[in-house]
Amino acid sequence: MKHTKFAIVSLLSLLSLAASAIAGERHFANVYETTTAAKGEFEFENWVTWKTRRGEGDNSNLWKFRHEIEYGITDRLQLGVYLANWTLTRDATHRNTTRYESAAAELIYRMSHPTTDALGSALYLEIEGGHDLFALEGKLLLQKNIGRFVFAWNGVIEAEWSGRGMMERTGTLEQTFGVSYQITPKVSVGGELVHEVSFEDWSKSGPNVLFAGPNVSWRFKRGYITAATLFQCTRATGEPDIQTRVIFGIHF
Amino acid sequence: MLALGACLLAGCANLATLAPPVTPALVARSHGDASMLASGRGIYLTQCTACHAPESVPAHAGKWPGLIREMAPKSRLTAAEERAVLAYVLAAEHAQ
Repeated sequence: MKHTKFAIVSLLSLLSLAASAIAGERHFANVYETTTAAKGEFEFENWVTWKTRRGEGDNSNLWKFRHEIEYGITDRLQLGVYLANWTLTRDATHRNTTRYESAAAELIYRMSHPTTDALGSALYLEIEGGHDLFALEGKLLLQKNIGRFVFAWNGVIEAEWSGRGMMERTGTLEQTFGVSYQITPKVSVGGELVHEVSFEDWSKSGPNVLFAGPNVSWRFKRGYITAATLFQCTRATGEPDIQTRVIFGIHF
Repeated sequence: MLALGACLLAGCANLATLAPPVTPALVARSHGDASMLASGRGIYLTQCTACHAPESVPAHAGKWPGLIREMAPKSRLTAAEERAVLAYVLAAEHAQ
């Protein structure tokens, strides 16, 4: 109960901070874009992800929180620091558990622009560490803006070491795709796809898992809120049936 | 692949309509030089599209001074960049 109150107060504090401050822009909740922060610009992003599974004896809810500060080192190179990644889990017996997971740092380098070049592209590298957890992730980001449409694709490879003595090794290959259409300069709607497959010990392939669903983004003064709900299109057990992510960001 | 190529070409053609390229005729109509106008067009198509799709320059003819004044702080333009963008849109707003 104490953990739940702490989580709710923290979330409300962040929401009120976002409402009173000024902010950025992101069309997708699960797909990275190739545009980066302008040189010298700071952006504060908060992620809230809710994942749920419904099944025999497995009605669980997981809330994941990430808080990131991004900084434009140059007009092409952006540094991001995830100050805290933490979770709030409610199991089938309605017991809540709060857990600090990790911190992380990322670099994004934009190679080409999605509007003026034939295809926008960027490279992404993230390093993550926590209690009994170390992970490296690399992505190729591709994007093309055509009129009011934004198309984005990410190819992702991740290696994770976890558990006691970091003995558990997992590899993940993932690709994400998103389409967004600008209804007004402040509002865009679209859809997102996430396809992933994990490899236990980098050798045993797990099932292919596919998620798809709609998104919406709203840009205001110097901020934005973007949300997407994804539904699992496959029948992989152990994976969420539904996941919703909301990202709210502030530029300063 | 053909469909993707067609979309990319359509995007490029559409960009030239939304933000007319810098030509000798455009430079002659402006208060700046070719490099300033080219810089302004580049900023218009990159920094101004970070948050929203590119707007048609000719479609907002007559309104650009006020729009640039409003948008420059949001795009974090320097004074020199703001002048370059303004020079470009004023030259391009009546381009055919």
